[in-house]
Amino acid sequence: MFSAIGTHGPILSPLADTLFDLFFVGFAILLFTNSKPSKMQSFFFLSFVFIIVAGRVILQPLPNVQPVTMAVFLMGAHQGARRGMSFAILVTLLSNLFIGDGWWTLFQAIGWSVVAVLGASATARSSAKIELNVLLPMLVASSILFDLITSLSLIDSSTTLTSFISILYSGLLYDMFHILGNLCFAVWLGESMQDFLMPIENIHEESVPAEDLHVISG
Amino acid sequence: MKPQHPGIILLFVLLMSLQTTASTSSSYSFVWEHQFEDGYITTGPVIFDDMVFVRTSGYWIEDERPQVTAFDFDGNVLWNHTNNASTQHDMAPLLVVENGEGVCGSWETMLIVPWANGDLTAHDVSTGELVWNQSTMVDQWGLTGRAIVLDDHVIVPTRHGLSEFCLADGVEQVKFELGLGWRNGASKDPNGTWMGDENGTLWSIHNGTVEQFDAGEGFIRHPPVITNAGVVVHLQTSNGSEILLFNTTSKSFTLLNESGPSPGFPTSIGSFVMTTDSTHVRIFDCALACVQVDSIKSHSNGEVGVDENNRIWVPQNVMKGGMLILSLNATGVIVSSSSFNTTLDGYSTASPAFSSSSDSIMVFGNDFGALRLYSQKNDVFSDEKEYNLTEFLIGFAFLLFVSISAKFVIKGSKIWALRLLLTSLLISLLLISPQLMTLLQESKPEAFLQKDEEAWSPDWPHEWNNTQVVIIDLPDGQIIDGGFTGHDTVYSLTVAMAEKNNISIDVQEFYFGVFIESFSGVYGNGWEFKVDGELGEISADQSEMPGSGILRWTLAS
Repeated sequence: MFSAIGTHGPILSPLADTLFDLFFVGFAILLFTNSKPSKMQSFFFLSFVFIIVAGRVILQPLPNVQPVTMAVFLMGAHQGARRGMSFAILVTLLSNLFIGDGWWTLFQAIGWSVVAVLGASATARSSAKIELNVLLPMLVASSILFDLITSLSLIDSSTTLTSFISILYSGLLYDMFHILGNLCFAVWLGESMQDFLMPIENIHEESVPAEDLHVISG
Repeated sequence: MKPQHPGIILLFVLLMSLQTTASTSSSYSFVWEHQFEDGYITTGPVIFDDMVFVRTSGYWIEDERPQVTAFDFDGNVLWNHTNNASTQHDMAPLLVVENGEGVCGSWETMLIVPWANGDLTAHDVSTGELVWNQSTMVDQWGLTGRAIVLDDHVIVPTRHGLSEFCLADGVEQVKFELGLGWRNGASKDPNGTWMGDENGTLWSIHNGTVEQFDAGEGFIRHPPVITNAGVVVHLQTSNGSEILLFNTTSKSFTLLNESGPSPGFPTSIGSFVMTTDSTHVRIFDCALACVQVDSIKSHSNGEVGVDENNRIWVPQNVMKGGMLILSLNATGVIVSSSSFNTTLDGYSTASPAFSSSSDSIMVFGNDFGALRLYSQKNDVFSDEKEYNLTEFLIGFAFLLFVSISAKFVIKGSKIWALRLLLTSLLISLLLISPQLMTLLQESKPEAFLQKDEEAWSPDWPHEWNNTQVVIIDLPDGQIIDGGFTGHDTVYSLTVAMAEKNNISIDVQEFYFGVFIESFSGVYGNGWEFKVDGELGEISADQSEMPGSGILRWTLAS
């Protein structure tokens, strides 16, 4: 994470860099396991992580057009904040292995974790589908928030308020693509993704007693 | 309103696309283009009779050399003259002298060409045949400034002064040792000649008497402009420029205004004087005392052209190029401004040339070495419009999506309308993202510009003037090289400099751009760059490099 190629930020040795990565992966796994997932839920969760990582890597040539923000938001909305944050950290670390790792990885993980929390607080019931008229504005807000958080990675001792605003100004075009990209993903894949995420909530491994089965079928 | 037929939508979309992507101005139509294989065009073409004369320029290393070429209005090459001895940038304007006679003899209509290797050649305008050839002193450079005609002499600013040559036979008649000059053309008033130099000195040669006046610390790199109020010069300073008026009675300078860096050639338009530089075009009313009347944002560092309708054409010396067209009212106020763009827009300092013949010809060239002729003639050529196929397809696709989206809205399927609308918007913006990025960077408020002073060093070779210079601040010393031209991006320029100086560079490519990790194996905390003192905030391959400027690479702190 801290190879810090071409940016400001701390430089660590490869060993220290690896240890940091392992620490954050471990933290992410801890967050996920604390939410007491079933085996099936774990399987779907990891599958979803890899799908979104692949999506982010494949869409890498398009500047800031990636499905992660929407996926993280919906994960938080339908699976809760802990799983959402875990998802955010794992997707960030794994996809940055392919795209490029640096000081900014930490801020991306934090940014998407905040989006997951935002998603979790956006719905009263995780099993309720979020309508587009709510989802789209929330994704705009999430994208802006994420971009702001990741811009903080460019701050160093010489950064003034003016220069920071200048940095934000320079990134406006990428922010626009990020917002538009998420809106596009939402209108094309939002419903499907919510369908994918929601049923996992209700999958349990405990068997139903036989007498209850008769009652149900009766 | 329900569409009656899908074909109507398609036709509407097609017509809108055609209209929005037409790229010529409404008054001029494209006729022909000539692409020079080598070199670029930095001084405006000249039109005489039915001929167009143009010169190419460059820093020649291999077999290529600068040339002067004559075309007819149909684009056929009439003649070509190559100067095999000239290897530096040839920027002095061409001069057509009509036939005449004087004390020192008679002459036919000629094209006078000052060369950077010190040659001054006179050519028959019809055949290009050399009439006479004179050599002047070379001190790294030879002739770079504008020549003028006075009676039967041609007055030429030389490297160390000014010389007068007989038009009939080219024999030098008079020679004055003045200051070191570069692109410092001469101007004449009823009694003599004015000229500036690289020391900020304004020289006056009147009735054989030479006087010098100190305009300040800077360079005068243009012909002074003679007005009723005095002599106007646009002094290039280390911080920008100063527009000064020299009062010929009190023999003193008055500061009219401070302005942006890299001033172009001030131009006289009636009683008004127009100045250009990297930030503004300014109009001064110099009928009595020079007073600034108006200004407009612009980035122009060379010549300007004036057409037969007194519209002023200002080439923009930026990556997206094009020309700003201004019209002034009787008081010098800018009453209209528009732009003229083509598919080959790019950096340009050469003015367009206009012919007031019945064909109303306009011809111009740019730093890509492309020469184009346009006409206002009302015939088959004037019906040709120049379209950019890519832009047309983008416009067509976008409008098609929007129209289909509208149809879905009407049918009640909002989700499909949203899908098509958002997707088409995203794709369109992605396709024009380079232009959007440039637009954002160029419209960045000045308050947000992180700019340090990047001063030109007097130790640098003069042939680096108006070229691209690269500085790499390594821990054990600086590596500096200049004389580069034509590199549009920081990355392109850096790679060229590194290759020329055998500097190894490590590059990392990310989805958001290319970053340089190391120079000569030095990684540090990463490398950052500044262009003319302004910190680069996007990747090197996406950062513009101006046609002339200083690129500095330093280790990040």
